[in-house]
Amino acid sequence: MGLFVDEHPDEAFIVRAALMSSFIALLVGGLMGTIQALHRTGFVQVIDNSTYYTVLTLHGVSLVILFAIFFLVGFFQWAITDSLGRGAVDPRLTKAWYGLMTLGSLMAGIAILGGFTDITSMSADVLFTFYAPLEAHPLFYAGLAVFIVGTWLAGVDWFRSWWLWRKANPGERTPLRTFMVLTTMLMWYLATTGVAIAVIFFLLPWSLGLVDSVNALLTRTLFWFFGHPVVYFWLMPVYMMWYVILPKLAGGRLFSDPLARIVFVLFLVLSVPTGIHHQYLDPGIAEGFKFLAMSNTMFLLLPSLLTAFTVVASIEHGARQRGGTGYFRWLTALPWNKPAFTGMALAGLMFAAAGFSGMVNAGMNLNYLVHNTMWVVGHFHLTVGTAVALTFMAVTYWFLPEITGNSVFSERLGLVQVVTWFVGMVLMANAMHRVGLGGEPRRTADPFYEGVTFDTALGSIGELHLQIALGGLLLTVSLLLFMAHVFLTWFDVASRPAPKPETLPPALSGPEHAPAVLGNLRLWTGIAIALIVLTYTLPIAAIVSGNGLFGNAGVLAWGVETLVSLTAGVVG
Amino acid sequence: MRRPGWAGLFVLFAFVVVFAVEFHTLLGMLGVEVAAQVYFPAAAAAVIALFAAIMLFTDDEADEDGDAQAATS
Repeated sequence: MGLFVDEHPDEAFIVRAALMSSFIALLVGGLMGTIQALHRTGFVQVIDNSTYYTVLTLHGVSLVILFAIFFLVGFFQWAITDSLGRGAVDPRLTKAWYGLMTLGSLMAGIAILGGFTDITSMSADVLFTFYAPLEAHPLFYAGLAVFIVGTWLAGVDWFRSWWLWRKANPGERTPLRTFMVLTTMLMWYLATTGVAIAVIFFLLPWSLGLVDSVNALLTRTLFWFFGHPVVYFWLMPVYMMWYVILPKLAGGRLFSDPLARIVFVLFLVLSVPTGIHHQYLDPGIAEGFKFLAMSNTMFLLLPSLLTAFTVVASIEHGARQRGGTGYFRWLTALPWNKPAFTGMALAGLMFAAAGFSGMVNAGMNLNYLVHNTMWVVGHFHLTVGTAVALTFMAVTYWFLPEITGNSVFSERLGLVQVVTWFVGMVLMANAMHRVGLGGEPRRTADPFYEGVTFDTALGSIGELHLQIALGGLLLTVSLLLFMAHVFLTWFDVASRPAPKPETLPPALSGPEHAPAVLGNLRLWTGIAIALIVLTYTLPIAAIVSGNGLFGNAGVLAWGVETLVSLTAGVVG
Repeated sequence: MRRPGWAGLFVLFAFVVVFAVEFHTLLGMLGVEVAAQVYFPAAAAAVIALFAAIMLFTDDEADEDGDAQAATS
């Protein structure tokens, strides 16, 4: 068994291309983050306040859409190919979805960059949460649509590989990595229907001038239909890395393959019917629907807690294989000198903290305290900014040799990079949480309104802003170290010896212990759809009946109102 | 007592730094206001003392990769 790049050169090419796109987006988005952190805290202001929103949009879109999803598709292409032991069914389709994703990124990116110049009226200062009433240039929406179609085709590509594998291997359990890819993509198909409808039927026609107005609450609801599960779209590949790569790096094996499958099935079923918890303060959605979304969200703690147990058990097993002993002393036997291990372990630790702040966000009463404050920004810098980004960066130190055939430039430099990210993010994210508790708003270039100082019992705002700025600078240093490291490894600047091929050990409790029903993807998808229908039908019907599809109650609204009345009658 | 490898020391240092910084605001939450000009030099001295003690009072058994366990197993 050779390196992935030797076994599957065509697929390795696509993986490298996807990762290259991802890293470019990371660099652009990360540097925008530096500008924001220094601007908002008042230490260095190189842009004016109106440009801040262009920077913010570029930061959000580059990192949470382009960086995360390009990395995801590259990693999934590797996971499918390597675990099924076969290349893409039709390499033209593989190149087509990557091409569409790249095209969509360029379209959306050009629209955003237009906001930096007066030469064109084109702009898309609508932030990552691009719902109405903020309006972007049509190119932005069209680009996002093309990008998402690209991801859909990627899923089709992987499902085709799996179907052919199944024909050739009747009765065999789907390999774990493939199972994880398929459940993630099924969840993605369900989640993206909301944003696809919002973009194609409302936002794009509105920005093109084909309709005069849109129902802002409807586009918000459709966005969050997608906007919360997209978090799990970023997290599920991270979970895959924690389940299949981290135990190997720790020197052991995955504790339980069936438990990992249960976790991914739970994410498929529960991820989508939760989005309304982002809208607790939105008028026009009844409290009962919000309560339902809160309940669904709290159920999502279950797969995360299962993951915490399984991953820690796997790591402990690895540590004991390396000679570790005692209740906690085994921690010292772990390979802390490996940046891939240390980065993923620190990311997992930070994700635990993110889970706690996430429970505050998800609880209706506590949410009222932190809604639209910097607390929320601190939260998602722990989830996507650390659990996802740090894991992606850390796994790159293990993954890059597989797809380039070159050894990592320097493990020591890699370790410095991941630890710097950890320190920077602890300082920045913690301070963000605390200034949020003090009432400092998010999504604003200048948080200091006249006469408002945000005096708080939780440390001085000035000290916390210093922590945010310092953390942001450390993150920038870490980012530049990472990019330099990727460059030096990619082009084998140090001419290091070729890496040895890596194999992933089987789980301690293998797939043969998993009940067959876990592999029934039709069943789990059906249950997921049923939950979505139960959670979303009545709120959306009420939103449309209240304000019409396009913001004005009319003929369409009357029809929907009748439907709601009939449904209420049947339920009653 | 076996000294951690350089990697272990580095990760430990990261935790100590963030704890030292965050502890200042934690004290503030508890109503104990310590001036930054006093707290941070004191915290820096404590961190230096901690690492000096680790270097002085532990046995050096780590390999050059910073892997303490690999050196003893």
